[in-house]
Amino acid sequence: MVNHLFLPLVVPLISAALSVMLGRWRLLTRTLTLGASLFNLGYSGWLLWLVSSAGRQVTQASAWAAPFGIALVADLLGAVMLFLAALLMFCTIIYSLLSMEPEYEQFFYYPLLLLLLLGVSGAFLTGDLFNLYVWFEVLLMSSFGLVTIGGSRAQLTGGLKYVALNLIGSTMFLIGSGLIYGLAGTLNMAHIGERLITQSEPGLTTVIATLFLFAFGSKAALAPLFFWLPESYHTPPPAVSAIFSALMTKVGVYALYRVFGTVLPGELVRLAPLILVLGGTTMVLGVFGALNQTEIRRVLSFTIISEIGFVAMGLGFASAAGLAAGLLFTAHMMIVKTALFFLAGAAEQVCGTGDMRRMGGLARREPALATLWFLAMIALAGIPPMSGFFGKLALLQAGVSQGHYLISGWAVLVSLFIFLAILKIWHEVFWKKPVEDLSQRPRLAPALLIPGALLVILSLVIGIGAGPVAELSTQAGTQILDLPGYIEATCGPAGCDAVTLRSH
Amino acid sequence: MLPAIVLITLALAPLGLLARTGPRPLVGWALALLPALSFALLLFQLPQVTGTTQIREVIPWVPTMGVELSFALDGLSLLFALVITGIGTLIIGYAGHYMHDDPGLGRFLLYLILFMGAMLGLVLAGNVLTMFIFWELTSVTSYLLIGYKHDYPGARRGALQSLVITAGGGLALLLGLLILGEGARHAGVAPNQIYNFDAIIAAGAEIKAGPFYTPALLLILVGAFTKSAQFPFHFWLPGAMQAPTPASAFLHSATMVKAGVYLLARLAPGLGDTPLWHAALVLVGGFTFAFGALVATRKDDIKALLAYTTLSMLGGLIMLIGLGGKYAAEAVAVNILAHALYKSALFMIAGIIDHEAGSRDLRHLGGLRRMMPATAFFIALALLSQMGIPIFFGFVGKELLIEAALESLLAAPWRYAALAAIVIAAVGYIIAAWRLFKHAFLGTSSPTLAQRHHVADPRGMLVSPAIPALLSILVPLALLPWASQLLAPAASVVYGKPISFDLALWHGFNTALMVSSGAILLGILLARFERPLAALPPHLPAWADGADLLDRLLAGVDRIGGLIMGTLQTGQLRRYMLYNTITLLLITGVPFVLYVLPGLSFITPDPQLRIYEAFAAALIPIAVVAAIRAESRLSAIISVGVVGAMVSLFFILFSAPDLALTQLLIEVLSTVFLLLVFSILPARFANLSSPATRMRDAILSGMVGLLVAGLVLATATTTIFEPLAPYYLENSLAKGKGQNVVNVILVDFRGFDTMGEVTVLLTALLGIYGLLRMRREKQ
Repeated sequence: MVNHLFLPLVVPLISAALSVMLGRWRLLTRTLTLGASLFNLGYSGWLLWLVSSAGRQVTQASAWAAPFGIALVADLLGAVMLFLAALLMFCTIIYSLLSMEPEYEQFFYYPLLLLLLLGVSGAFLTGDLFNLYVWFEVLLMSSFGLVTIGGSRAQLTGGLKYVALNLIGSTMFLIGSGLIYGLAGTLNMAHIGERLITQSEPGLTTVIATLFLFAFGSKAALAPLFFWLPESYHTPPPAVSAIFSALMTKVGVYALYRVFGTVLPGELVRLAPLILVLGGTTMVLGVFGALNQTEIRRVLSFTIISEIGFVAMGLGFASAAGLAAGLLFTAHMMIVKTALFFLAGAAEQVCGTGDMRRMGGLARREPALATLWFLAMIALAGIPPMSGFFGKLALLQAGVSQGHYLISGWAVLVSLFIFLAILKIWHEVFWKKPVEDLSQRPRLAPALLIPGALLVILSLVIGIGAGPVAELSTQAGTQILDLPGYIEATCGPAGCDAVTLRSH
Repeated sequence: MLPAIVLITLALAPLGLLARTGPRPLVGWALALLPALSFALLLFQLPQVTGTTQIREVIPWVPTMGVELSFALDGLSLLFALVITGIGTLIIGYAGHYMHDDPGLGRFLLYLILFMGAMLGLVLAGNVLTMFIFWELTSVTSYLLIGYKHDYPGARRGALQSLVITAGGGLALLLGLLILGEGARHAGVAPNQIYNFDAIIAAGAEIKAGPFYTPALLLILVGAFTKSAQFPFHFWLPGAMQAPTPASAFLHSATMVKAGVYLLARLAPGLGDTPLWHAALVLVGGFTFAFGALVATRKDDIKALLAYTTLSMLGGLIMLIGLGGKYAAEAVAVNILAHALYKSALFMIAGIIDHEAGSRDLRHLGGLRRMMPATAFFIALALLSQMGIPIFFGFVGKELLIEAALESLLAAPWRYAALAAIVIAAVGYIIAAWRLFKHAFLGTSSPTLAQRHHVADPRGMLVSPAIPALLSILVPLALLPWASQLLAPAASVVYGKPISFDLALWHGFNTALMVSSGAILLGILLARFERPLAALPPHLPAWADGADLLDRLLAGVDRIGGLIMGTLQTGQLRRYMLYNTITLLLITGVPFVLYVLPGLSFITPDPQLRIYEAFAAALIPIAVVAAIRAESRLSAIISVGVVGAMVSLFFILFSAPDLALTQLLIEVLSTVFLLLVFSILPARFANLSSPATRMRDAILSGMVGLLVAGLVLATATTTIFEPLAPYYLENSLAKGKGQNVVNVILVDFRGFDTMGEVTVLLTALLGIYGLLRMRREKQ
C-alpha cells in the first residue's frame, strides 16, 4: 500500500478552499489554481510511469483495510485518465487566464475548475462504488456551477436540462449501488467483482448492471440519453465548453469501462449486443445532429456524441483489444476535441460570433489558427499521422478480428460523415470569403493559440509515436479485464472474502 | 535509403515556403533539385531491381497493430517512384514560372512537396497499412491543392467532392485491407506479417479460397476505383481541375490517380485471376476506358478534356489488370510510363495556353501556332503519342493493349468487350486530340485573343513540358532497350513471375497492327466530323451528373439527419425526460421481466404486523397520489411532506433514530425552502398537458416505480453473500472508538465519502452564488 494516491485529490481541494477564502487577491488565486493543476499534471505523469512499470497502486483511506474502508486504486486506465484530465485542465486554466473576463473570477470560476478536477480525479482513482457516486456528485455540482456562471438565459435553460437529466442518471446509479450492496453485501469494487463473478446465469446482477448502463450511459451521452449535451455545452464561455468536452462524458465512459470491464465482466458479455446497438445509434444520431448546425461549438458538441458511440463500440466488443482500442480512441478524442474548442473560441473571438453563416476568411487572416485547426480537424477525421487514425484503426482491427463486420462498416460510414460535418466548419469559417469586414476587428493575440497548439502537437506526437502509446493502451485493455489482478491489488493475494473471514 | 527518401521529402516540405518571395522561378528550380536528387538516387537502384526481387527496409512503428514503416523497392515501385520524382522535378520548376506572380506559391509548393513525399511513401510501402497511411495523405494534400483558390465556391466544391469520394473510398479500402489481413491470418500467415504485401501475395491462393476474399476484394476495389476515378466515381476528377494547373498535371494525371491502378497491379498476382476480379475490373475499367474517351471528344475546356482522357486511360489500365496474362502485364508497365509522359506534357501546355492566352476554352482560342510555334510543336508531339500514331510511345503502348486483349485467356465475350473498349477509346483520343489542336492552334484567333499583347512562347515555362513531350518520341526511336530494362521488372511484379521482353516499334503485320490501324483510320475519318459530333445532344441526362448527384446525396443526408434530430431534439426538458424513462424501462425493465420477475418471491406477511405499521405504509401511496393530483402548490408540498414523515416513521420503527432524525430535518428544510420559492410563483399549477399525455406519463412513471420496487424486493429476498455490516458493529467501538455505529461509519470507516459530500455542498453553494449574483444579461 502507498499513501500518495490522496495527493491529486487533496491538492485541488485545499487549493480550491484557499482560493475561495483568498478570492480578493486575484494573483494569488490564479497562482494557486495554476500551481494545483500543475502539481496534478506532474504527479499524474509520475503515477502513470509508476503504474506502467510497477503495476497497480493502492491506498486505503484512513488505513481501513479493503473491503471495509474505501480503497483508492490506480491502474493504467485510471492513471491514463487522471493524467489526461490534469493535462487538459492545465491547458484550460492557461486558456482561461488568457481569455476569461476578470469578473468571472469574483464568482469562483477558478475554484469551481479545481473542484471539477477534484471530482474527475476522485472518480478515476476510487475503488469503491459508492465513493464513485460521491465524486460524480462533486463533478455534477461543480460543472453545474460552471455551466451557469454568467447566468444568461441560454445558460440557465441549458444548465437546467443538464442537471435534471444527469440527476436521473445519478439516481439510478444510487439505486444500483444500493441494490448491489443488498446483493453482494459490499461496495468495494474488487469485492463486488469477486463475489458476483460467480453468477453464471443472467439474473438480478444483469438487471442491476443495466441500471449502471443507464446511469453511466447518460453521463457518457449515449443515445438516447445524450440530449442534455447539445443543450448545454455551447452556452458557457469557450474555456468552459472546452473543459466540459474534455472531461464530462469521459467520466461516464470511464465508469462504463471500469464497472463493466473490471467489476462485472460477466455482465459485459451478456450486455455486449445491447451496448453495440446503443453505440451504433449514438454514432449516427450524433453526426446527424452535427451536420445540421450553424454554430461552430454546437457542431463540435454533436461530434462528441458521435464519438462516444465509437467508444461504446469498443466496450461492446467485450474484449481486451476492444477496450484497449476504446481507451486509445478516448484519449485521442479528449485531446483533439479540447484543442478544437480552444481554436473555435479563438475563431469566435476574431469574428465576434460563432455563427458560421457570418464568419469566413480566417485562412488568410489567421494562418496560424487555420493551420492548427486543419491539423486538429484531420486528427478528428482519423487521417494519419494524427492520433485519430490509430484510435480508429485499433477499433476497426478489434471489430474485424472479432467478426463484427456490420458495426465496423457502420463506424466507417459514420466517420466519413463526421469528417464532412467538421469540413463544413473549415469551408465556412476558414476558406470562404469573409462575410463581414474583418479589418476593423482586433488581431488575435498569438498567446491564445498556445494551449490549442500544445494539444495539436500532442496529437501529432501520439500519432508519430503511436508504437509506445498503442503498447500502453494494449496493456491497459488487458489490465481492465484482469479482475483477479485487481482483486489481489486491492485486497491482497487471497482475495477480499479472505479478509472478511479473517476479521471474525 | 527508402525511408530516408520518403521521410526527408516530407520533412523538407516546409522549404516550399521559401517561394513566398521572389525570384519565384529561380526558387522553383532550386526546390526542384530535391526530387531531382531522389530521382537520381532511385535511378542508381535500377540494376539491382530485376525480376521480382526487391530491396526492403523496415522501421518498426506500431507493432501492436501490425503497422511498420516497411519500404520495399521492386520493379513496379521503382517505375512509379521514378515517374513521381521525375515529373515532380519538372512540375516544381514549372510551377515557379507558372505562378511567378502568386504570393501563395510558397503554400502551394508546401502542399505539393508534401504530396510528393506521401505519393513516394505510397508506392514504396511494403505493408498495406503503411501504404494506406500515405494513401490518405495524398487525398488530403490533393484536397488542399484543389481548394488552393478557396475564395471561389467552385474550387471549394471541387475540393470537397474529391475528398468525399477519395476519403470515403479510402475508408472502404481500410476496412478491406483489414479483412484481407484477417484472411491472411486464417491462411496461416504469421500474425506480425499479415499486413505485408509479400506475405499476402504469397498466401494468395489460400486467401482466395477463404470466406474473407470476396468482402475484402469488393472493399479494396471501391478504394481503388474511387482513387483512380472510375465510373461511377469518375466525376471528382473533372471537378479537381479547379486546382492550379501544376497540381493537375502532377496529381490528377501522372501520379495520384494512378494509385488505384498501382494497388491493383500490385495485388494482381495474389488476389487476381478469379471470376470476380475479371468481371469487376474488365467491366468497370473497360467501360470507363470507352466512356471517358467519348466524353472527352465533346469538351471545350482543355483541362476537362484532358481529365476525361486521363480517367479513360486509367480505366484502360484497370481493364488490362483485369484481363491478366503476360501481355497485359507488359502493357500495364508500358502504358503507365507512356501516359505519364504525354499527359503531364499536355497538362503543362494546357497551363501555358491558359497563362498566355488567358483562356483554356477551345471556343475562345485559335491561331496560336503563329504566336506560340514552339508550344504548338511540343503539344503536337504529346498529342500524337496520345493518339497512338506509329513511331510514338503511345503507339507502342496501344499495340500491347490490343495484344493483351487478343491473347487474354478469358472467355470470348470479355476479350471482345475489351477489344471494343480499346477501339472506341483509340478513336475517341484521336478526335479529342484533333479537336484540341485544331481549335487552339489552327484557324484564326478569336477577337479577345487578338487584343492580348505578348502572347508568345514562354521559354522558362516550356522547358518542363518539352522534356516529356520529346521523350514520347525519343523513347521509341532511341531508348527502347533502356525502357525495356526499366519496364520488364515492373511487368514482372504485375505478372507475378519474372518476365523479360524487348520492346520494339515494329512487330510485323499482325492482328494488333490491323486493329490499331483500323482504329486510327476510323478516328481520322470521324475527326473531320468533330463539330457535329460535339453538337449531338448530351450523352447523359442532366440529373445523372455525378457531381450534382453527390451534392444532392449529401444534402439529402443532411436533410434526413436534420429531420430525425429535429424531431428528437425538441429543446423541451419533459420530452428528454420521456426518452430517459422509456430507455430505462426498455433496457432495465425487459431483463427484469425476463430474468427476475419469474423467480420473484414475496416476503411472507409478518404475523406480528402492527396496525400502526400498516397505517404508515398505506399512507405513503395515498400521499403520493395526493401530491400528483394536487392543484395548488401548497397541498403538493404537504403531501410530499407526508411521504417524508412516514419514511422517517419507518426508520424509527426499525430502530434507526439517527436516520429518522436526519430524514425529518431534510423534510422540514426542503418544505421551508420550497415554500420560500413558491412565494414568488403562482399558487396553483397550470395544467398544460392533455389528459392523454398525463395518462401516458402516469403509466410510465408507475412502471418505473414498480420496476424499482420489484428490484428492491428481489434484492431483499436474495441473500447470497454475507454483508459487511457485522464488521462495523464489532469494530466500531474497538477500533473506531465510537458507540454510535452510524456516526463511526460516516466519519471514520467511510469518512472519505463524507468529505466528498461536504465538498458537494460547498460546491453547490459556490455555483448558486455565481448564478444568482452574476447576471451578465442585465448589465
